[in-house]
This record gives sequence, structure tokens and C-alpha cells, in this order.
Amino acid sequence: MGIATTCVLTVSLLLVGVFSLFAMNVEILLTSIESKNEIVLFLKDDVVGDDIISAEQAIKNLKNIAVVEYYPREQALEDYIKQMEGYESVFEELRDDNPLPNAFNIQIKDTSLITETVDQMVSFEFTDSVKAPTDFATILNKLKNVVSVISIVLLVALVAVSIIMISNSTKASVYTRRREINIMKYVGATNSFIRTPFFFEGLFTGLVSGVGASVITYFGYTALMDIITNDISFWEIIGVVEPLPFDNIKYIVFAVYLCIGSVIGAIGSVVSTSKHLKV
Amino acid sequence: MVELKNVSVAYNKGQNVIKGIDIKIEDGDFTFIVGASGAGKSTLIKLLLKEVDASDGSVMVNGYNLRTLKRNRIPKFRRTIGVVFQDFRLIPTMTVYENIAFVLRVINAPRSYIKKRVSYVIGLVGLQNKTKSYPTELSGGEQQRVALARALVNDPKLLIADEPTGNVDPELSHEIVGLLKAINQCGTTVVMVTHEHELVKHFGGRLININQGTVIYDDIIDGDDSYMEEDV
Ligand SMILES: Nc1ncnc2c1ncn2[C@@H]1O[C@H](COP(=O)(O)OP(=O)(O)O)[C@@H](O)[C@H]1O
Ligand SMILES: [Mg+2]
Repeated sequence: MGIATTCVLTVSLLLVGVFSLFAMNVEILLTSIESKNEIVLFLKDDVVGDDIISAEQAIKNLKNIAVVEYYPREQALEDYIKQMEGYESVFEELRDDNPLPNAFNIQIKDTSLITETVDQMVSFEFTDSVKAPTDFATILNKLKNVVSVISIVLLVALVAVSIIMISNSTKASVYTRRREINIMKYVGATNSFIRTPFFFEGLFTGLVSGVGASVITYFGYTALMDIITNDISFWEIIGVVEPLPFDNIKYIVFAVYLCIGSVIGAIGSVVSTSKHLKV
Repeated sequence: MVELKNVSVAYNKGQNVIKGIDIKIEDGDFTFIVGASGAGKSTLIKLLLKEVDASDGSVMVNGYNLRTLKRNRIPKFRRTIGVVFQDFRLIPTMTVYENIAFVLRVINAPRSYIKKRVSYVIGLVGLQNKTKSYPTELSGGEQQRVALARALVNDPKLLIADEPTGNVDPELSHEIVGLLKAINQCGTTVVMVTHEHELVKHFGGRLININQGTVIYDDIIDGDDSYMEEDV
């Protein structure tokens, strides 16, 4: 079917593949940022003993709670003093009169419902106050929605454009063989007989393009990861998560390339014969 | 056998270019169809191949009712017919042998049969020495003989030729028609469109004259008989 068609299809596949990988990484990044988010519920000073246990139970009974961890004031103070490295002595006297409250560290399941969950926590009798990254979670969720909508729209558009480009460039090859197709029709060839070689040609072109896209993606992605992971400062800024290692998904990526490539190639090629079969 | 009853044909719902024609061609006949350019001769041929459909009337060809024939049965029907066109329609990338053999590959004939049969029809049109040539290396007359061999190779009951001598030197026209006559003598029904009246006078046979989509003459005429002496 020609080098031009193969190149067009390879580029289409690359666009689809690179964009999917990018979207997958963004998704992973967002999800991991999300899981770092913690809600802290501070208890009133008069909540002691068994009341703490029943408070924990009350929180756990809320919907949307993933993890609840009691964080006693003594522990909080220890952690606080430890952070003040070199000034420990200054804070030693705080041990006699601990100003920190008892608290629960809480993780929720679905951050898009964070406002409702926090409201429920605030309404508890034992709650003094709740510290929650509500705004941050809201923004993050909006971001995730936007990313997935854009991903789907772009992917559909890319696939559609690929099919159009392929059927256009196979039209040229069909056109040069229209005489042959025409004669085949006159001597009683069935449409499927005529289409078969075009089908396999398209399939083969698709497979070659799939291999091409796989090779380019493999080297491209690996090189990009080297650059990103070597640049420590960059990685510390967003560095809450490792990027998707290509090794884990390479076979999926290759398989998807080959499948999409051969399907688009075969369909595009067969579709472009239709016009010439109406004799 | 061909039987057209009150057949009309129009392109794209326009005016009728075939207007209520009645034609009956018996098995084994040799029929010339003549008429001015634009009279509807090629349209009649397309009708017999079910390349166009009649808008009215009934069309029977080789036992198939073309007005009710389903699309997916057309290939089988067309295998009972051989066609030759004015412009030869050979595939330039194939040799003479391949141009003919591929017709049998289309119908999945066995390899050994293809070899035997193709050699036979190449012999019939006298191109034994050109089997490995490409169409561009042949004269017009030779190319038309290849096309004729291709039309014959699947042993059709009906052979249709639309101006087969149109692109062939006049001296070689006789040779082509002579071949068609010889083929007809072996039992194949032949329908040949031409506008060269001289050929018709020379060879004789049934003559149908078409003018503006209607039959204005249909009778058998005598030939000069001189073709009998020619080396066919
Ligand atoms: N594909 C077509 N679409 C529309 N009109 C056509 C087509 N083919 C032929 N015609 C018209 O039909 C008439 C008969 O054409 P044709 O059968 O080719 O004549 P002939 O072969 O006798 O010269 C002409 O007027 C021609 O313009
Ligand atoms: Mg014509």
C-alpha cells in the first residue's frame, strides 16, 4: 500500500499512543496526590477515655471513610518537638502543660464528596474543629474530570482522523488497480474475492505501522523518563509519585498499537474499494 | 439465450435511452448490432451484463431473469458470459498468460486445468509465441486477441463484443471477426456491436439496427462468403 500510507498510519498511532500515555500518567499523578490528602479532626478537651473510642466508632460509621487513626496529644507533642531539631530543650517544658489537642487522622475514599463528609464531622458533639484540604480536593477533582473528558474527545478524534487519512491514501492504490477490479467484476469475481487482497494489504500496512509506532514509543518514552527522573529538582516539585514505568505496560502498548493499526489499516483499505465494486 | 421484452433503460432517472425494445437471440446465433453513435448499443450490452438495470420490461439472459437477480448472484451469472471491449481492458502489469489465467483463478479453477485451458485458448487466437509478452509490447490486433482469449477461457455460453474492431487496424478487423465467427461455429452464441457496415456486409449474419433506443431493422443478411476462404 506504500510507504506514505505506512507513515501516515504510524504517525496516527503515535499521536494516539503518546496522548494515552500522557493521560495515564496525569491520572496516576492526580490519584496519588489525592491519596496524600488527610483530614485532621481535633477533639474537644473534655473528650476522654471511652468517649474517644465511641468517637472513633462514630467517625468510622460515616460513609466515605477509608482510614481513621487516633493521634493522641502526647504523640503530637513528641512529633512536634522532634521537628524542632536543635531547640528541643526550649519545648521540653511543654510536656508539663501540653497545649495540643487529641485528634484523629482521617483519609476518605472519594475526595469529590469531601465537603459533605467534613460537614458531618463538624456536626459531631465531640468535634472541636476539622482541618481539611477542601478547596484543594475540589480543584483536583475538577482537573481529573477535565483530563478524562479531553482524553476521550481527543482519542475519538484521532482514531476518526486516522481512518479518514488511511482510506484516502489507500484510494490512490485502489485507483491504480481500478482496471483490474473492473475486469474482475466482468468475469464474475465476488466482492469478497476482490477485497481479500486489499484487506490483507491494509492489515499488513497496519501491522508494520504498529511495529514502527511501538519502536518509536519505546525509545521515546524511555529517553523522556531518563530526562525527567534525572532532574531531581523537577521531580521534587511534583515528585509525589513515580511515572508509569514503561516496562510494566510495554506489552499492552505494543498489542494496542498492533490491534488498532491492523483494524484501521484493514477497514480503511476495504472501505476505499467499495466505490469501484459497483459495476 | 437472450430475450428482451418491451425493455426500457434510463440513466439516473433521465430520459429513456432504450425505448421498449424486443429482441430474442437463440443459442448458437451470431448477431451484429449496428447503429449511430449514441444510439444505445453499449447501453444494451450493459443491460445484458446487468451493469445497468431495465426500468421496464423483462430481461432473460442464459436462463437468468436479470430483473429479479440478487446482487450476490451476479458473479455467478457473469461467469456464463464472455465480454470483449473496444479498449481491450487488459491489465498492463500482467503478461498475456496471466491476463487470461486470472479469470480462472477468480473462479477458483484447479491449477492443472488453468494451465491446460489457458494454453488452449492462446492457441485458438494464435498467440502461442507471445505468452510472456506484456500488453504494451503487442499491436492493437494482438491485444484484442488476448482479450478474446480471456473472454473465451471460462467457456461462456454467450460472447459479447462491444466494438471489438474499433481500435484495430482495418486489415486486422477481419481477422478478429473471423475469429468470432469460428468461435460461433463451435456453438457459442455471439453478439457483436459495430458501426462498420462493411464488416457486416462481408461476413453476413443476423443484423439488428438500433436508432435512438429502438430497433429499426432486424433480419438476416447474406455475407460475401469470402471469409470462408480466409485463414481463420
Ligand atoms: N453512464 C451514463 N450516464 C448517463 N447517460 C449515459 C451513460 N452512458 C451512456 N449514456 C447516454 O445514453 C445514450 C446511449 O449511449 P450508448 O449506449 O453508449 O450509445 P452507443 O454505444 O450506441 O454509442 C447516449 O445519449 C449517452 O449519452
Ligand atoms: Mg458504445
